[in-house]
Amino acid sequence: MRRVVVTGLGLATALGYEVEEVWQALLAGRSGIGFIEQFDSRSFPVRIGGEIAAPPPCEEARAQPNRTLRFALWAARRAFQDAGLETAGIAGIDRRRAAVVLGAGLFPVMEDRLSEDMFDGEDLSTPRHLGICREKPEILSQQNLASVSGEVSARLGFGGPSLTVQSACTSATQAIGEAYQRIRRGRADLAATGGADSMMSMFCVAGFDQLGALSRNPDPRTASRPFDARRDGFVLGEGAGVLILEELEHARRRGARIHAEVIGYGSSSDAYRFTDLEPEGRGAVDCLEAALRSAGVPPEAVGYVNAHGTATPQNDRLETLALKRAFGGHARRLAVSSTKSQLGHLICAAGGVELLVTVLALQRGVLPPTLNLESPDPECDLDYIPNEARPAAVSVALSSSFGFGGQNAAVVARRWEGD
Amino acid sequence: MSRGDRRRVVVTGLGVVSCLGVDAPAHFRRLLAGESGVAPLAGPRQRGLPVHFELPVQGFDPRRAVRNRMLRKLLQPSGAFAVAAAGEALSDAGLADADLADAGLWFGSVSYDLPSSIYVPALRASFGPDERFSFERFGRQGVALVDPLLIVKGLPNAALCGIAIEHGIQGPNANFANGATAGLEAVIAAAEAVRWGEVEVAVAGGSDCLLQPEHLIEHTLRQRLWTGDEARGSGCRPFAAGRRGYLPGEGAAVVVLESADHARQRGARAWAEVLGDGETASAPGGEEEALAAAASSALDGRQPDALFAQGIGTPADDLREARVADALFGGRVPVTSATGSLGYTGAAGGILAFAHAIWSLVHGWLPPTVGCDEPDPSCFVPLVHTAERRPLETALAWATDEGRKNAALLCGRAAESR
Repeated sequence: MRRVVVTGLGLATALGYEVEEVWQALLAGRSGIGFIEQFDSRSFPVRIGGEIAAPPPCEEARAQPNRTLRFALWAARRAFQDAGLETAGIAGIDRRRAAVVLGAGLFPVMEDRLSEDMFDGEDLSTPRHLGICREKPEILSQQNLASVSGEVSARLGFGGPSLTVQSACTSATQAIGEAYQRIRRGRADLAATGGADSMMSMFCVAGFDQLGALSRNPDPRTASRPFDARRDGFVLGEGAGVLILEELEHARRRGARIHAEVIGYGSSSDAYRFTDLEPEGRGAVDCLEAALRSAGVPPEAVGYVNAHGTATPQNDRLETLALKRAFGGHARRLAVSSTKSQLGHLICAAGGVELLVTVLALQRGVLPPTLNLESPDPECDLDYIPNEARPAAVSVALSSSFGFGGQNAAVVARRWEGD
Repeated sequence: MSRGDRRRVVVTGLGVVSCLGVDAPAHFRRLLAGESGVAPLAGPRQRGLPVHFELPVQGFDPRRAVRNRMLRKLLQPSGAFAVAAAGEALSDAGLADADLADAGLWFGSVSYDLPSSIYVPALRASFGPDERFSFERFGRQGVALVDPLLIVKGLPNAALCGIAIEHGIQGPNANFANGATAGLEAVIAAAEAVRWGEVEVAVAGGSDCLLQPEHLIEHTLRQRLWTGDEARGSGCRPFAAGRRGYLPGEGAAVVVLESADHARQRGARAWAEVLGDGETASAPGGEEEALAAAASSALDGRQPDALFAQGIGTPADDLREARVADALFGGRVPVTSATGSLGYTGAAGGILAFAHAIWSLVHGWLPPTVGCDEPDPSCFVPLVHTAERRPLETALAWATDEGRKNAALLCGRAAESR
């Protein structure tokens, strides 16, 4: 089967819109988490998040009708530029063999629809709702997940497969896996892939809080504390992470710079419950083992794992268990960290930003830290790179995501050494 | 693995939930008879909207169709249809009691699917005596009234996860929320996984429900709904001179795919073989070319014996399909569309067309296109107007989101029955 490499990176996060800027901030241990300004959150039980305050620095992205699309378009455009495709590079590619596969969320934003007389008994008033949507057509864009990949395909001029993946928190990692399989199996030569999402709206914050999933810690700097004994839930983030994946010979022929190689992918399903992980971590173990099998490397080859690490009590305990089961004795020598400690949980975009960070860790030989890891939890007893970035020449790394509903996925990448 | 090592992929199970019936036999009986599931759209949902009919699933009992009680509580109708159709497809394949831990699962789904009533209690509590909404009140009083399962209940991947839980499917998977092409894209991904030996068995399908007010509003504002007030036919008139849109529908279809060897070894009969596929996208202006490219990729030089088109009855969409069909087949391939019978079924549309193609290969009958009362000469396709006895070797099904995204699948009679 064909080999697949990463040739372009683009992102939008609470720590910035530029890859280098965000990478340096992650290594410096800065947190992107602050008070939510999207809506007046002062009376909310939870009012912190990894919110992106400034609009994207390009008109094409700012003109999009919702936050998810704005972040998606910005990150995809930057990845496209980074891959050298905007200038001469695009001329030599067969656009029908260029795919877009993006994980995306577009949860309805109720604050756009507020008005007096909006109710009709125990339901929303359909005539009033119709009137509001007529005045604000951008509301209709919130119902069209297909448009996220569709708009990116159209803007980049990619005419191959165009897919929006929605597998809750696993969306972006599964999107990357679907793109990887298409290139590896010869259906496409390159793909813009990853994810984009924004759930920074009042019903999402309220819904996650009511579910008991969010941290109630009021301090933005310390609330997101994956694997720490005092963790009490995740902090919501938003943004996008997009990578250009490309078939190796295709990248070589056009002289593209290679950031890293993607060597394996695995996915699985808990088939258990919607909000609880299977108590033995079975689904997580299955996807980690499938990814290692697909990569054709023994567990001992892996030096770094960018974990799902949400900072909910359940996830971090069971993820630790799953890593021990999948990696055996090598788990103790693995370096593991959670980027969510600095950016929050980007939901459908999480796996995109996190694979991007994993690729940078391989390329630069520095592993990003897990912030706020102060009190050890006996059930989370691996090496989580607490609080400070660590120089380490790692040759193989893995990024994983586990989602509501029970879908799990993991991607394995290798440092590019010119071979 | 070289090209020659790739395995043949067959369809061994089929399940359908539609406005025509809650299982495949009932659905196909009424489809072949040229019936439609049209019903008056009544109640507050319709108030203020210029749409008078819908095509709802009727007689569906979630207590019989979904065994898992937690799923019955969590799933929206589109998710429950999916679980039921998957159950039928697995029974049809003789896998109802099989261990499916290693099976794959790809699905095409809705965008978020939430009844608007789920928002109301929290919103109401946040309006003060001045009838104005305040975030201050929402934070203090509204949040506590939000259903803790709000986010989970509306998840687009709820149908896929419901199928996994109900049927114990734990292998590789992905969920596509990709508009009209979503269900066909799921089959394409699943067939690839079988073809390359990633799994032996995969379940694939799609489901959708367009009956919620937010969908009615969206399709009204995009001027795509048929707004007539007579109940003749279903409003949708595919490829007809007076076509003016579609009515909203809902439903699900699911297939079981497996390698031909695996099916043979366990003595399962194959309904059809998956022969080819195509998936394309387009910027504005390239829609026709992109649909043609998806079809050409699926055909790979072959000519199909029938085309299961979308035919949603909007002026531009039908014209695009007719022009592409004409350019590819020059009027030699019969065309049929089910939108007149089923309404517009979103993510389920393409997979329902694929199910119809498989059924037609097996039974040698082409289902009729309901509603084309006066063919449009400028939008001509050789339409099947009444059920037609016709043995088929191959059939092409496609789905298209206004030409911006296109997916196509070619299936053929299974080798054993040739």
